[in-house]
Amino acid sequence: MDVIIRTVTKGIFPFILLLGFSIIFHGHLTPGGSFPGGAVVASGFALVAVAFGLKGAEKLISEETVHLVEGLVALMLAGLILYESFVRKYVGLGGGFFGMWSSPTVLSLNVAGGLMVMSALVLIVFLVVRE
Amino acid sequence: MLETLVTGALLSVIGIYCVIAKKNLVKKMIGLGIFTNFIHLMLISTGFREGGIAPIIIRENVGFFAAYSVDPLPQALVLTSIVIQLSVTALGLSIAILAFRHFNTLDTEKMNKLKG
Amino acid sequence: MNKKIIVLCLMLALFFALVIGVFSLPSFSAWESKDVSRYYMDNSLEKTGSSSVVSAIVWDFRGFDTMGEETVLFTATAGILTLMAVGFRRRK
Repeated sequence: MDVIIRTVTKGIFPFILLLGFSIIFHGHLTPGGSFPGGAVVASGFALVAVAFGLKGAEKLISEETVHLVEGLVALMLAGLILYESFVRKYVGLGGGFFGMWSSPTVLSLNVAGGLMVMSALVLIVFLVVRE
Repeated sequence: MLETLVTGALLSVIGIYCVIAKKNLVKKMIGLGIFTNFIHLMLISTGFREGGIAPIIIRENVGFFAAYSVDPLPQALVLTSIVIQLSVTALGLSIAILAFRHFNTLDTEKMNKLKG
Repeated sequence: MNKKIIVLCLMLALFFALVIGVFSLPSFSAWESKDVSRYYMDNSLEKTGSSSVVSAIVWDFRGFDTMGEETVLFTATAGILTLMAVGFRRRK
């Protein structure tokens, strides 16, 4: 595409990823969580797919990687939710009561859900752009 | 408080009108999106509280949190519904692409007459 | 012209039904009858350890709803993959 769009995309893409992962990782302390964070990360990849075409996006993350991530994360999510409902009977390690490790199950569930939403949206964008 | 719900009801009816009365397939999907989003707005606005704060427990408001915060339950239910609306819209637009490839038109009144 | 008038009358009737339904709901600041929300707000910090009540509701108290919704997302992605491979001719 245009020169301006390509240059700006090269400069701003790491910051979009940083913002998205910050929203996902602080899901148990601030509003947000897995769904808005996954949408922000997927929109960063969609920007690269629009500016550089499908070949440039394939250099960044290939389609087989996205399929693999989606399958594995789906199994991990189901396993974590069943573990939390039937097995977990204590409150997590409090490293500071309002800190990052105050709840390990909600944190790992947010990460898994964010990866799942991101891979589903990136797959939809790649499939529609290919036509 | 009640005027929010009446406005949401009016715009939801406009969304349903778009699904019924328009002939283009993409316009029908847009109407579905309008209707679903305004139903979500109506659901969230039932948890309103005057002078309320966000439902996050921080160190400063542990004591009086239950007396000042807005209702967090409709927000959690609407979060699930937004993702389901995304899936329905994505699948509907994929079927529209396939229908355009087959019939070479996006008009639902012409799709009855062609034999494929 | 006839069809548009019928559709508009139907939409007006639907709008009046919705407005009657909205006005007959209980008043919305009635916090005495919101038992479930009060239980979630009081016990979210001790039982879950997360500061955000919405995240605790979505992933801990009502975790099976979220599991069902992720299944819907996964199935929609599989469906789009199937639909996009329909006209794919393999050249030998």
